[in-house]
Amino acid sequence: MKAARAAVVALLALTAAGLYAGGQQWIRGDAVTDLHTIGAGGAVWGLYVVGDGFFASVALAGLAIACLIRVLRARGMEAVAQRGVLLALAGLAASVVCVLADLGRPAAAVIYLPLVGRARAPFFGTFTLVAGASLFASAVQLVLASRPAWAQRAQAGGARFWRALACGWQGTESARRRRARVDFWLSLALLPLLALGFVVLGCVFGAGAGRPAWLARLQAVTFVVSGGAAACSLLLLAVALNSTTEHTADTEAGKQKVRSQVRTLFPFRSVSVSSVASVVKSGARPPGAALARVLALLTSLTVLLVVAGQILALRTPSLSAQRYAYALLAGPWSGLFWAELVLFFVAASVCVARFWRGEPSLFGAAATTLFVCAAVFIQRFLSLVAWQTHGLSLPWPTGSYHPTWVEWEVVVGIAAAAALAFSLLVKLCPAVTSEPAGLSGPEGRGRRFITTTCLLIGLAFASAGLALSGGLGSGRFLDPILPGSPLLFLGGLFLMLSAPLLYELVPERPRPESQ
Amino acid sequence: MKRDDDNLRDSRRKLLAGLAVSAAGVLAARGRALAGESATSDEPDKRPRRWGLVIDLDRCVRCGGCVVACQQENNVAPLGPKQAVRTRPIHWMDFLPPALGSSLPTPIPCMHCEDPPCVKVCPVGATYQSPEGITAQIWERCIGCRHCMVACPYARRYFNWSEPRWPGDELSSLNPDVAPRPRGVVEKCTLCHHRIRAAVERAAVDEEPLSDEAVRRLPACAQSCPTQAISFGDLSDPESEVSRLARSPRATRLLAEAGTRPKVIYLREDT
Repeated sequence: MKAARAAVVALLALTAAGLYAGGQQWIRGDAVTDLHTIGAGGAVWGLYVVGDGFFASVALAGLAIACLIRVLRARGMEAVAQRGVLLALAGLAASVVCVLADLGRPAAAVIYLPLVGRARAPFFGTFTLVAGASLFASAVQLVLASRPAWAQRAQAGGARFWRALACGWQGTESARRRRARVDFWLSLALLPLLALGFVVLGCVFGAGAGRPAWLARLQAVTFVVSGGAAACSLLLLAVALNSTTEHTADTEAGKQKVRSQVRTLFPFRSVSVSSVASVVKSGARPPGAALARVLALLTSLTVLLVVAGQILALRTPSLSAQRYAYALLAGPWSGLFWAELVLFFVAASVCVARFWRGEPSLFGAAATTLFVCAAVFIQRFLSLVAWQTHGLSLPWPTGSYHPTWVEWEVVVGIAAAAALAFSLLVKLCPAVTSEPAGLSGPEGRGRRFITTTCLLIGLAFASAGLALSGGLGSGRFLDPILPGSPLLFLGGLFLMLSAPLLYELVPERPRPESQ
Repeated sequence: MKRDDDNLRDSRRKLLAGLAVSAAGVLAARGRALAGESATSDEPDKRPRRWGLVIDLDRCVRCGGCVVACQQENNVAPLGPKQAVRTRPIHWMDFLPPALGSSLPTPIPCMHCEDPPCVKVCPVGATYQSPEGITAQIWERCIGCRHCMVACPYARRYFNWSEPRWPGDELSSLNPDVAPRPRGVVEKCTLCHHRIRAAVERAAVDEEPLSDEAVRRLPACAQSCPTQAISFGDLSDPESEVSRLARSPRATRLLAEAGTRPKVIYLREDT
């Protein structure tokens, strides 16, 4: 208890220090950072954009893991899914703050992006799909999944607050069926959205002026895989911290249930079983062990991709790619590059040694998380900054970048605030594994009509907003046809994502007493 | 009941038919507009101008006059000693370390590419390509994301890291035709767009066509060059000096393989 309090105090102190540093930057401008002009010996994107990429990819990966667990209906891992959604919320909020810290004129961004944001620019996808829709979707998933827990609290304590949050959850058969349906369909619908978000982020991080297309694609893939590794490690830590709630599948009944679900989903033994399926199959084990397996796999894959990228960059005819590779292998960035590889290797080893078969220990999980997150952060840093300082196509002098205390404090402060938010949400929204319910069953026409209408109106708004923002196929890169169409697109996405809320929250019509 | 169903079906049919007619109308209007655009651009007299620069590396003596003239003309604030040490200079016209087979530095303004990567990535349309091919920037709209700086393969864009300050009474000697840029926005070479506009307006008032001689030394860099190494003009006019120079066997472009099709053309040094 004392340790927990000390951790909260430390996180609050770090957040306050971050706020102070942010204030300094607000007053004195970006001159307080160590960002320089590209070509004049510096990098224009530094720690803030690296932080944005780190938090956003971790968040999207966390949400993707949650969606996969819910689509595959691995009920033994519901607690992990819930933590994944919380991770997504905290991570996406942190990534948005990182972007705002990086922008030269954040207030102008808040005004102009919804008004005249251009659908053809990569940043459009970042602020609509990643920051807007994914954040909203996470909030919807969290609210709906937490209602049973809030209802339990309302019964226990009778507090009006919990009753209001539970929004009339009564745990009836039909309510549980609706819960199961929304879990399944919302998660299934979110997977392509998340994939699109990852592609956009991968494009922003992989693409750089003069970077060969194959290297950009390889770095985009590395970005996605390493993001998944970081999210797995954070979830592993969350599971280890709160391991008492994750043992649903430890019981014999739980094991049987998960096995039968796997048999339903993968009836043919010859089907190539992906890492995701291996998570489900190992659902009979503690979820920590399953996460550790996926983590070990993703970490090894990241190392493989990083090494392959370096070897290919050295052998490519592109001079800028060669300069970049040399800077990483034996140049000014070599220390960080080798540290990244060592950290990934150690993390994978710890995963294999400690968690392959057994329950994760808190110390082991914390060490693994630290190693993986540090390695992923370095991977983002090198992919983004080293190219700006050493990968230029023209013979400009090479540059350097050493973040100032302001930049470090802001990013650490954002991370601390995200950790605080995560802890608070874990307290507020505990995972409750309710009695399972089937997907099929009768449903009222009114509820279906309201949900479908909301979905269709949202779809119409989103399509119109996207078409108007993109200029309806015009070849020029001009303003949106209608000012505010990005807002229309975002509003449409929000409406579509609100449909599950309506589906679950519309009150049931009281049935007449049977004679 | 059956009648209700029929009514519903009829109204659905009408709705779908209405939607189809509207969509066809929009597409037809769009097609006509595009066809009109292309017809206009095919007429030689109405062909839009494509402003460009030709820099003769054989004539250039690397005096740096163009750099200073550009700073003065476009109200680029001088840096304090701290900012200068931290390599945050703003030079719309700068010198690139030896390239293009030359052993001397190469003067390098914005390339005003035909296919500018900076325009594609700008999220709010603060960077755009004017009808005359100039890659321009709306300072007021820029949000300072610096994506354009990362995307530009020539590194020809500058961010205002701090509020611009002019020492002493230099503030009173600023060029009134060019707005100073605030902190937090990206800026770049405009090919002295204000001078071009003034020349076009002058020609319109005099009811005379804008001649190649009148614009040849229009931008500040071209005007200040003591050896007349920098020429400016309309690349779509085959008779202009820049077009003639662009056809020279010495003509080359920086990073031609990048596919950005720059409108700044270099003439290699005679060997």
